[in-house]
This record gives sequence, structure tokens and C-alpha cells, in this order.
Amino acid sequence: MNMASPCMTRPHRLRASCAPELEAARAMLAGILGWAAPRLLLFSPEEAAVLRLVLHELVANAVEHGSGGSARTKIVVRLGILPQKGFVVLVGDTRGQVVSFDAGGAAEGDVSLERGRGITILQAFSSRLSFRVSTGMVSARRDFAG
Amino acid sequence: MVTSSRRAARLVVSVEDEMVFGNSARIKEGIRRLIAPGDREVILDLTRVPFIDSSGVGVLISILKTLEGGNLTVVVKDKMVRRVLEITRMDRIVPIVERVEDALPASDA
Repeated sequence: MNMASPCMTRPHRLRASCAPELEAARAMLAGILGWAAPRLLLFSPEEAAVLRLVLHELVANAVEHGSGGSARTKIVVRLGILPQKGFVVLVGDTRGQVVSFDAGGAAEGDVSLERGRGITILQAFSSRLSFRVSTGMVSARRDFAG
Repeated sequence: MVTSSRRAARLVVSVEDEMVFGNSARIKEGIRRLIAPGDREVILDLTRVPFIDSSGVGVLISILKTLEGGNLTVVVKDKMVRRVLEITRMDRIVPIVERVEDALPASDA
């Protein structure tokens, strides 16, 4: 990961990967957030929290639903931050297989939201959420207003 | 860290940590150990929880099931934590207040 001082006008991009295991994912997330921290100085605290939430949900989903492959399978995260404009997060795995999600948010009448909490959160906070079936990637994008 | 106290015959469980994937199972187990078989009224104090994701929300659902018809009230101060609970509809199934005192009967607050 590039740890140099960030330029505050150009996009910042990061690619990180880890084994599809809980502890490895936690360590990777800590590294990503450490990289992102100086770049988030121009974000509002709420937007920084949203980015962190999106990262958490996508990586947690990849660990839960994307594992089970060979020892060489990795979870891949690509993060793009455009200062004061927004961010894009893509998460998938190196098998290129579908990264499933607890389907489509809550079912009508599911008051307790036992399933679909992760995607419901993403849908609430992302300007655009998409699933690229062919590449097994899930991307979440948030564009800041104004 | 998970701690507990008793106020007005209610169990107050306080969490002082993020509630996220990676530690939610540990926090859930820690809370469950503090709930005695006869506890029917539990106040879950999340005022010192700085961040929560869907795994953390799952802890609340799990605790509610543990209470088996008992009452759970959640205390939240952080706006983002509250927003996540609202998005996941937790506010429709448990009361969410801003202070532990708001969860107590008026005579005991």
C-alpha cells in the first residue's frame, strides 16, 4: 500500500488482499483504514464513518460468503477516494466467482431484519451499489452532495 | 469490554468497544454470560460503542432471543450507531433511548 503523503486533488487508489479468514480480514481492514486516514481529513466525520461501514460490510460479506475455495483464494479490495467528491469500494475474490449477498435486503414484513442487514446498510449509504456477477465483484459508490 | 450493574431491578449491560465483525461473537458471548436465567428486563448501554456494523446489530438480535420474551432497551448516543440501528429496523423492535435513566421507570430514574 502506498503510504506517501496524499495529494488532496487527485484520486487515491489502493488495492489490498488477504486470505478469506476473519483475522486476516480484520488486519487488512486496519491497514486500509490506516492508509485512508490522512485522505479522509477532508471528509466530514459522517462520511468517513460511512466509508468505514461500507468497507466493513463488503469485506465481512466476502469472508462469510466468498471463502471456501482453495488455499490460494484471496479476498481483494480496491478502494478509490476522490477527496471531497466521494469514494468507490470494490470487493471480490480471486476465484472470480459470484460473491453472494444475503439476498436483496429485507423481505417485506421482515421487521426484525434477520437477513439482509448488510446489504440494507449498503443500500442506505451508497449512491450506487452493484454486483458484477461475471467478475464476482461487489462495488459500492458514494458521491457526496455538492 | 462488557460490564454489568443493576439498577431498579434491571440488568444494565455496558459495552465499551466497537461492535463489528471480528469481535461480535466475543461480545455476544460476554453479554449472554451476564444475563441470569431470571432476568426479564435488560438495558443495553451502547453509549461507549463508537462504531457498529451489521454483525454488531446481530448481537442485539441474539440478545433479544436470549431474553425469550423479556424486554430489552438499547441506549445509544452516537448518531451513526443510531442510524445503523434505524436502517436495520432495530428501532421497530426495541426501544432506543439516549440515556440509561430514560430506560428506567420514572420513580427510579
